Formats: sequence, C-alpha cells, structure tokens
Amino acid sequence: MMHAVAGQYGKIGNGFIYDNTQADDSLNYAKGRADHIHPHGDTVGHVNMTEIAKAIHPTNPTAYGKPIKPIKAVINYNGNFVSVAPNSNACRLGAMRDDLFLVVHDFLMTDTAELADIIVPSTTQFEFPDMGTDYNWYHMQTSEKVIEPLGESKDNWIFFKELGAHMGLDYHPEMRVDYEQILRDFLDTDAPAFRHNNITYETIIRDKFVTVYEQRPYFGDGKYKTDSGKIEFYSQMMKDAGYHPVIDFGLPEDEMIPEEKNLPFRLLSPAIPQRANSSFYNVKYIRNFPAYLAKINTEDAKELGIKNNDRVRLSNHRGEAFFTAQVSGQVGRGTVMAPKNNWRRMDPYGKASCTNNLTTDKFSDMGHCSAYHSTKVALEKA
Amino acid sequence: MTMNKRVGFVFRQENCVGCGACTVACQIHNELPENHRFRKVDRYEVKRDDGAIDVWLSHSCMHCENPACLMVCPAKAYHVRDDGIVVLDREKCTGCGLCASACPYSAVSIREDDGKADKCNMCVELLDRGMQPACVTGCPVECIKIGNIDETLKKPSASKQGIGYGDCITKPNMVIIKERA
Repeated sequence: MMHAVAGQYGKIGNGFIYDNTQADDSLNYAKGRADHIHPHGDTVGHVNMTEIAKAIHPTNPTAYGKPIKPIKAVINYNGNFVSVAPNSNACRLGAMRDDLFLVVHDFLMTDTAELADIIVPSTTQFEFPDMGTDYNWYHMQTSEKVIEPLGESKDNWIFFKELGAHMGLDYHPEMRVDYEQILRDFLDTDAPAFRHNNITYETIIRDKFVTVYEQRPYFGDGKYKTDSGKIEFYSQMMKDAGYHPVIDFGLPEDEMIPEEKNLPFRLLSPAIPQRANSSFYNVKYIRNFPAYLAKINTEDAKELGIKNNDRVRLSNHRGEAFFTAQVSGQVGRGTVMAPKNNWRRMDPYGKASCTNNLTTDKFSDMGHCSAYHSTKVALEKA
Repeated sequence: MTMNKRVGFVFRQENCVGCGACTVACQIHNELPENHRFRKVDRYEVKRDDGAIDVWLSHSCMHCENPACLMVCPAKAYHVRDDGIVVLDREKCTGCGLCASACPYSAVSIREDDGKADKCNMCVELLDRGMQPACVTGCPVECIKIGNIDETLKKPSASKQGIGYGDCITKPNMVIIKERA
C-alpha cells in the first residue's frame, strides 16, 4: 500500500519485489505435467502441504476445513514434511499412525525418513540430468549427470514411472516417455520471453546457462488483476470478497484462540543463510552452524533474566521447543525469532524439539497459503 | 623480507553477510576436522540511530610482522616467507601450545586429533601456483582478497582498525576496507 501511495510500482530499485513466478508461468504446464490424465476417471484429491497435520490426523482428517476420507498412504519425495510443515508435533503423530503406510523417497536420513515404513533410495543431482532456475526465475541452467546412480537409487521420474506401471497405469503414452521428453514438453511454449530469446531445450543444453528475463520491475506492465485494472485504494472487489474495502486492518491475533492470542511473544521463523529450507542440516562442516538459536529483544531478555547462551523454552498449545538465547537489539519487543525447518535429528536439545512444533497450520486470509509467522508463544529460561 | 612485498588479507567488512562460506571452504580445502576452524566469522551487533545491525568479522591468522607464535616457539616450527606469510611446519611442532597461548588473535590452536598446533598458511600451496586461497574463492560476496599490504593501506578507506579488529604490537597484516564495494 505504501509503495502504491508513493508511486513506486513498476520501477526497478524501488525496494518492492516478489516476482518468483514470471517465467514459471511461461512453461507449458498442461503438456509437461500431462494434466489431462486422471486415472480411470477418478477425481484427484488435493491436500495443501500447510495442512498435512490435519489431513493425516488419526481420528478427524480434514482438508480445506472439510472432513476427508482417511489417508492410508503417503509418498514423501523432494521434501521432509515432519520438519518443514507447521504444527510439527501433529505431523509426527500422523506420520507414526499404524494404519498409515509412509514411503520416503530420499537419499538422506531426514526426520521424515526416520518415521518411514519403507525408504526408497533416490538419486542426487549428480546422478540425474535436469534443469533448474534461480528463485526469481531470471535464469535457467542445466544440472548435469556426472555419475551413474549408486546402489539401488532411482530418480524421481523412474521411481514414479515404475510405480505407475505396477499400478497398471502404463497404458498412458506419457508414462512411457523419458525425462528428456518431459523437459521438452515443458519448454514447448509460445511465451514471448522464450521465443524472443530463442530459448529451447537445445539452446539450454548447449549454453548450460541462459537468461530468460532481464531484471524487470514487479507489475512493470501496469496491469493489475482488479475490476478497474488499476491499484484500488477503495476496492469493491475486496468488499465483495468479505474484506475491508480500503485495506484489511485485521491482525493475525484476531483469528487465534484465546489460549494463543494471550501469549506475550510473536514468533518469527525465517530462513538462515547456512541452510536452504530443511536441506544441509546433515552436511559435514555446515551442520555445525547454529540453527537452534532464538533471538530475543534486549529489554525482554532483561525482564525475563535471560542472557546470551542461556537455554530457553518457547511454548504454546501446539507444543514446545528449546533454543540457545541470543540477546539482540534487532528484534522488536514482544518478538522472538528462531530459524525455520530445523531438523529434530540434529537438535542439541533432543528430537522432541523443533521450531515447527510451535507454528500455526492456518492459511493466510487472502492467498490461502502458509502463515508460519502468525504464531504466538510463551518464552522462559529453561 | 622487503616491506613492499608483504601480502595479507584484505577484508571488506561492510560487504560481509556472515554466511560462513569462507570457514567451510577453508575446512574443506585443508581437510580439517569438523570442529577445527582456521577461519572464523564473529558477529558484532552495532547500534545505530535507526536500530541495531549485525556486523561480521571474518578472521584467521593475521600473518603478523612480529609474529608472537614464531617468537615463542621453542621448536622453530614457524618461519616468515619473503612475502610476509607466516608458515607453520607441523613436522617440527612438538605440541607444547606456547604459540596458541601467545597469539593475540587466537589464530593458532592445538588439534585434538594429533595434539599439534595448526593455523592458516594463507593456502601458500595455491598462491605459489598463481591461485587464490580457499576462503577467497569460497566467499560468495567477494569480501576477502589477498593484497599487497603497503599498497592497500594507501587507499583512504583502508585501515588496520575494524569492528572486532585492531592493530597491536605484533603488527597484524589484515586490512579492513571501510566502504561497500
């Protein structure tokens, strides 16, 4: 809103950027993902990752606020939901259900893999040719296969293709293609950025690194998805959707139960530079960089008798987690900051501790995505 | 040693983001035990009018002009090269620990695996082949360089004082550049 008032939209260097899907939208998802496939005409169910604790709940499974049939099997690949998803204690309980068959396809013993009924070894990026992008989608590059898959490891596509064949789904032509064809299908796009820059499967393989977009301002085209096509300070559209027509002044606390709302500290759980999501927690040298610190405001720490390197406990109705205190003037009063997605297996305070034991699995009000930072906690020296 | 040949670490403190990649690059190159670090990154919280910020100091051996480690070593395991780099010959080390106690920058430590002293030798084996030390190439924001100390100190923004770092009687050869690149 302030950027709009100041006329800062559409300018490079205006301090406002969130543009990580610009090229992503340009790929041919319908073809690459074979969206037309629905096994035997069944409807494919969907559970949001944020709500996985609710979806695999032992007695009352729900998704998007509605009851669902019990989930009997989970295949976890390219992820580690027991560390990454919010309300982690509940995730663990669900993952440990006797009547849930948990398959983990990974090359590391993650927190989720520890709870698996079967671990299916996956390849690393060194054993599988792929393409990737940077977070903001300005560039694409190749990730080349440098060794044959070790042991019994299989890449994602082979794993799912073989699984599909065992389930009798290999009558679909798409289930018989190789991974290169899938990449080609994704890149079979008429998106201007690809066509004008002559970016094709062949050019990416040849050049290994290509620029899809030069840096460009967010909403630089001046087109907004509003009824008027403009930035709306008063929006009938918002009002019709059930929000305040000028701006939603609501606070996360408004939607909390009193048990959480009345707790004194807001928990922020951002990423830290030495990890990427829940990756690298087990890597020699990197695993020693502290990922179990809680940054506490200097005045708050003084009032609670907390000093640097003290053991502290954060808690709410979802659970508890332990951290090493770092007293700092960089967090505001009433705020405590702890790294997200830290592994239980590496936690110096034991496997029962994890930042996401505390975080909410509610959706954000408008985007309906995760709302980790809308969490309140109690803080004490432990 | 001729004065104008002396090289040392040139550190852009304003650019450092405290990621620790220099530490890890050094550990990997030198095949160090996981709990042993030649290069460390310390955090300092600095108060400003608009709040507090983190400032980082990446540091290892300062390759001092008057190295305390060399002076106290009874086994003569240290020597200074023509370019000012202080090199430890671990073959000669007896593990007495005097050097570790004497170093004002805590740059020398005794390894748990063999009981001998160890420290940064500025990757001389790479430098002598025209390459750069592991910490230099490992830094993603290019805030560590190797430079001629006397030449670097002629820059107005160069100093032997930084946050967490200061000159002392051993005459350390690290220069802080006090401006953002």
